[in-house]
Amino acid sequence: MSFLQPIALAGIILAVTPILIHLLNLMRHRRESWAAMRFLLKAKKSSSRMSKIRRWLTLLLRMLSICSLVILFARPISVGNQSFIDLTTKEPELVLLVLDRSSSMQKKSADSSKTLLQQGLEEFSLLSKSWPNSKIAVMETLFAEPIFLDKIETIYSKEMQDFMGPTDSGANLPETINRSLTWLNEAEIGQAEILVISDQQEASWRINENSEILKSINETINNKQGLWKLGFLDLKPTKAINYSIHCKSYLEEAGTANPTLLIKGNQRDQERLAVKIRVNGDLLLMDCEFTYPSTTWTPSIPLTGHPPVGWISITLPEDSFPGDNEYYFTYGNQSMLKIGIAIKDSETERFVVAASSLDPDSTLLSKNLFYKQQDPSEHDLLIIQKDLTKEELGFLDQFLLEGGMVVLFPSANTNNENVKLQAWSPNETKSQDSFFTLREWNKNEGVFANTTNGKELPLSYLKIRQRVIPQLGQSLAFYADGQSFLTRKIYGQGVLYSFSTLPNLDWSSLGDGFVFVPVIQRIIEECRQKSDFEFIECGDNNSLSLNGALSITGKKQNKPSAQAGIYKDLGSLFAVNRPVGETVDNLVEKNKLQNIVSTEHASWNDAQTATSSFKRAEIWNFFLILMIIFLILEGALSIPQLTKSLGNSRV
Amino acid sequence: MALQESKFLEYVDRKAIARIGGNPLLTNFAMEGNVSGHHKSNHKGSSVEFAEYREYTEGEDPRQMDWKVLARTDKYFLKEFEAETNLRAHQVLDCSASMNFGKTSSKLEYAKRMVGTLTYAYLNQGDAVGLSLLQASEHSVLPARRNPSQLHDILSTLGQAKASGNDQLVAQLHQVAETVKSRALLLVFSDFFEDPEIIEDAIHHLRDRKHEVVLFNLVDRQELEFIFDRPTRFVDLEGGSSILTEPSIIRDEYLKQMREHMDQIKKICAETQSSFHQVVTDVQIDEALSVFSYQRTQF
Repeated sequence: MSFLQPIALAGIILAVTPILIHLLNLMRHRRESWAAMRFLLKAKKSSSRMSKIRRWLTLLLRMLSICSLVILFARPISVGNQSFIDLTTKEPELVLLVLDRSSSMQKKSADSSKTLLQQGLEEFSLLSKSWPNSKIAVMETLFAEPIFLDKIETIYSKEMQDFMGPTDSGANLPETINRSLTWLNEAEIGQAEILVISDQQEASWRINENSEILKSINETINNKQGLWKLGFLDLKPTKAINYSIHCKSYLEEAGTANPTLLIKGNQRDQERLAVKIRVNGDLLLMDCEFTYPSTTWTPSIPLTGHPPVGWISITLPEDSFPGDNEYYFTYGNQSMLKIGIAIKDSETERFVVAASSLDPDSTLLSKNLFYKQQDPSEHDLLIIQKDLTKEELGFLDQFLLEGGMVVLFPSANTNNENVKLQAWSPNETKSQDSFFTLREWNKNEGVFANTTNGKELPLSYLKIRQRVIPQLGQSLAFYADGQSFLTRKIYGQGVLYSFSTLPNLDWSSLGDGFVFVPVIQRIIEECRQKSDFEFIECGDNNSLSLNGALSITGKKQNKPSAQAGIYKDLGSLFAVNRPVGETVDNLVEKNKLQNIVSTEHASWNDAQTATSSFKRAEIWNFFLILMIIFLILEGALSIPQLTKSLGNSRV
Repeated sequence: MALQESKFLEYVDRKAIARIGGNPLLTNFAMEGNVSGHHKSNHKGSSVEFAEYREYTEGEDPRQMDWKVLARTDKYFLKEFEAETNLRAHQVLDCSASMNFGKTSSKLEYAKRMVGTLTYAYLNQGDAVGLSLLQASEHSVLPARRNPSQLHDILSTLGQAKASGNDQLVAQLHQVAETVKSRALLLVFSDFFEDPEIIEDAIHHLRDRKHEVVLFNLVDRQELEFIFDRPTRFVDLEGGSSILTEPSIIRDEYLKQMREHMDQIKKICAETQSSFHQVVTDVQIDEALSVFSYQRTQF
């Protein structure tokens, strides 16, 4: 058991007050002349032993009540696995705060008017006072570097705002915790209390993605056999009205900017939102009809009368958490779309090159992707039809995970068994006069959607002689026997398209172009939108490299790594936004997390109120109850017993 | 506190007199008076109250012969009537130091008022009234007389009485039993804080002398309820010894002891056909005496 206000324990001396008062009372007794002395003497002589026990018991209960009150004022806490009756002091060498500084930590707490970040820091401040002699360090999610604090009050100082203040960035808690443990190990810290303060947002934990790291954390803590203790403090955000905005895609055409925005809200009703749009600072108001739970809205923002290169900000009406109400764009920054091609089949390559280079002003094609001295990661779209080596496969995996787009064709000469990205079925070939035909496809959206004048793509006319069915991904078109003609698979942050046949006359009639060209063009367009939409997110590597940039929309001292907004660097404009994950309210599945981090040296606590300490530490409640019990017992002992009235024959 | 001589009449409570004066205060037992009065006598007399027929024996006064019976039956019968006489009401006042206790007025002062008022009432109905003051130093006795000047004498004696010394009640009651020769009504005013056994002896002695005994037990409200809120040193009024105690702790036991003591005295009174009246000194005199008066008029 430790105390947050140990100075209050000095008050324990007050416990002798009842005895002092008792003695004082005896000293300053009143003097009374008395006639019926014989009864008094007899009464005192035969005053029962129980009366004396009652008197001393009463004094004892009063003393215990005062002790409980004093301990209550001293704010007792039971930390970690330590029992509250364990009075031995076990001060850790270091108290380490792992602080979630993601944007969502700016939400208001469900229990108080403070933000989750403020509440978390306050909780840490209280906790650290339990071990006044321990060193204090902080590892926050943005820079993930340990910071030592001389005293706990420093966390509120202006100088520390860059490391403790609010940000618009995302977070990767498992990564940060793991880094903290590595640092503790390197610094050879013996005994440590590690407190992780987070709002448990799924985007900050990504349990599936980080399961290996979490297992490693669990193992490390377990191996330390209690020397390092890990505490998780859950902060619950308010459920007050909140809307959030982020951009799915962005398109510029005919002097207008057309962002496709996803607006989410937590109120179960329909509402007209007055959205403020600023183009280079000029205000424009538009209404958005919002329907719960989310609405996709594509405003057409006129750019006429504005410079060819500029910025746009879109702001939702103010709500309980204004941090996710704004989104930033730049316009006029479009660059050439880089397409890399690695195709073994020459006829397929010919058709692909023809279909991809219809707009030479906006696309830059490079063949033999893996053979030339070129960096494949500089491309936006890769079109692949070849047997891939292990290295090439690894590269494509990484490329997709980071948000790239890949179009895969089946390899002509192999069984496609070794392709990791896609599970291919065996090659099927029809006889000379028979073909595979297509029966169904999505005509409303996607690459097979009808043209703008409502005409269908002639998929039903395609004659396919050979096919290798891709098994993974969402089917966009189906053969007559229900097999997939083309699949689309989300892979990490990227997209993988897989064709089941080649635009080669030996395989199919795709090469006539009526279907193939529009499909390839639409994939390129999707890639362009995705590529153009490659905004910088707070806290990512790009934002960190822009830290010298000047803020246009915010304060001068704002930094792209921490604050969203428009920044200017070397004459170019950059839009920096919150990570998309920060607008997703999904919370981490706690059971899942607890199953992975299952060590007995990890504890899970809820911050009940802004001023409360750990749930397990709230043992002042115990002393309050104890004091009340003592007072009730004392009162019960002090109740005079009923006596019979005297003298029935009284006159 | 004793009153000045000119104020002795203050010992006679006018309200009480107004309340009890209408009815005679009677006795339980036959009395031996020397003049006619309201009380039954142990002799037959000539009052209107028929007593009995008795056969005539030679030598008796023929004036009481019932001639009508003789005419009817030719037998000699005497018709006898109850004699009614006055009584000797002898009041005994305990003047020990313990009678000095009392918050508003002391038990002694209260007793003086009761004695003064009863003296007036008894004298007024033609009874002889006497007084004994049981004091440590001397035993003042005013023999019972029915002379109106007796009121002044008794009130003067009361005015000079002061509470002091140890309790001499029992010893002096024995003395009273010996000194009061003829049957009398003995009214004893005391707090009776003595051993019940020796009180019992004294009462038996008085009863053996054919006296009717009435005990007025004077108690203060504080003695009766014993309510104190903090430690108190109690100093004995009669001996000067003291004890320091927490009243709340011993209260129950004190009240129990007191209750047992009173119960014993009541039992003694019941056994000896004596009357017991507990009087709390915060009760008005007229209220206290009205209960006594009511019992006395029921015979």
